[in-house]
Amino acid sequence: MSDATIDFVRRELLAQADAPAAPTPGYWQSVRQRLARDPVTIAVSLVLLAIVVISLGAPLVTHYDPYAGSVLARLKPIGTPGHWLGTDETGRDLWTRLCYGGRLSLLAGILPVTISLLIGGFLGILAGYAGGLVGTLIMRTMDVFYAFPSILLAIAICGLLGNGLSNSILALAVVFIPPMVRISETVTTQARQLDFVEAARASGTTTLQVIRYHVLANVLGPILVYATSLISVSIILSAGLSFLGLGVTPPRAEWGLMLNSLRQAIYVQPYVAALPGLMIFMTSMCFNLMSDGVRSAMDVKLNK
Amino acid sequence: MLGFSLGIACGLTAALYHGRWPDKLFSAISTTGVSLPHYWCAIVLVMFCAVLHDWLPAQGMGDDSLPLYDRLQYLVLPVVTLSLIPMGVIGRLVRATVLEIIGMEFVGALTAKGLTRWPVIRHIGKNAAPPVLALMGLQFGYLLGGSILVETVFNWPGSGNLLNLAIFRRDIPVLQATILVLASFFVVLNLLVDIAQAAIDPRIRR
Repeated sequence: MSDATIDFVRRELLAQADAPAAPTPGYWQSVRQRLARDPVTIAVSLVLLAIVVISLGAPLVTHYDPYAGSVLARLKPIGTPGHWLGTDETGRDLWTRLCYGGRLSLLAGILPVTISLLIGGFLGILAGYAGGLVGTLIMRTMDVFYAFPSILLAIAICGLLGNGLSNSILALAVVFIPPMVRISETVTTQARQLDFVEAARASGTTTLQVIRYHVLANVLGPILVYATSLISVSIILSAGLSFLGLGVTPPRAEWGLMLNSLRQAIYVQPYVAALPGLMIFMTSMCFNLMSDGVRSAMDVKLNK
Repeated sequence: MLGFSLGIACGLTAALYHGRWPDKLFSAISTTGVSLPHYWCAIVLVMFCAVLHDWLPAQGMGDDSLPLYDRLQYLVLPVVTLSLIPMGVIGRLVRATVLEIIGMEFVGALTAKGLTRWPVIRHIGKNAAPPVLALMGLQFGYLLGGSILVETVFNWPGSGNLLNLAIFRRDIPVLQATILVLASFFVVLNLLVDIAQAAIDPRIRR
């Protein structure tokens, strides 16, 4: 063998020895690169960011009071001077109500998913990692919840607890826990059988450390992606609950509630009446597309 | 049913033309269907077809005395509204499943054997059926519950409306009973789906 070849082999071996540290950041880096090349996901994330910023900064983008109506200015059309999106059935500025409504709608959409992510994720990882009796116990309990269609369960819980924002958030969180448990249980069971997890266990790592370093790293990604796709469902459902009058109580501004109170006005101002629904639609669509984008960026199989 | 068949058609076309424009178009339609709040969609449809253009009746079920054709008109808007969501959900699942199956080796083998397009698609369909069927069962249950919102908009005297009234009158027994009936429908339906799955796919029968 020539010196050059030996040199080459040595360098290769050295590179391989260095390799184990590299894969994890390499994976996330490539995910980020793929995301940066996906115009749809970027555009959608920007729209979402805009919606969040406008909702949080509602007092800055509008000078009206969301609760102050005016008998004279009821149901003005889009483009009225002073009220560029028109006014609702008691003369409140619609743009203002939409901005303030975003706060509650986003809260009622995101909070249930977060709660169910924490509880469901914990239970799922526990069930998947422990397996055996514990796993069966958790999964069969979840199967009981699966017997109800999701909306029906939410409506039933809300109907029993009475209306109010916190009750609708609670109801939705309960509805989302079973699918969350199921997803995280499936992913954890798969991750547990991976060779390096086995190796870690064989080399005497404690269970807690295996879960923390090896299982969580492999499980969190898919669970989070699933959670973002649940947010869009959650926003639609929570707005649906307040549309029925089960969620947020009037006169607070919330998109579903506004849609319901403007429903009677569709013969007078059809376009104004459709606006709150359009906001719900846009937000949930954006969350869906974003979750799709992140999912395909994270999928190694699709991006070979 | 409309939603199911449209969804299957959408998903299948999208997967067969993966990456080309029909894929993009039908994926877009499916994603829209998934993200639509159907109560809003119902309102928009009423607004467009009944208020602005006067094509279809806005609410109610019509009188029993009306001829069949007139009564069918009352059906159009609610049916379209309710089929949009299953269309989206199923379209997305069919696309994903079919794409996965197309990547399998036996599809390549069938094509190599010289089978034309449609027989190959039939083979793919057989393999894609079980998960799609399972989802259909779930979606049907979702519709049972989801119709409460649409029935409110269209003023239909169905189980959803009953549920709505029961909630507002704090009529807990009626609420419990309605939910019990709907949930048992759902369970029976899922049982039927499981049986159908076993009939189609011998792998599940083991």
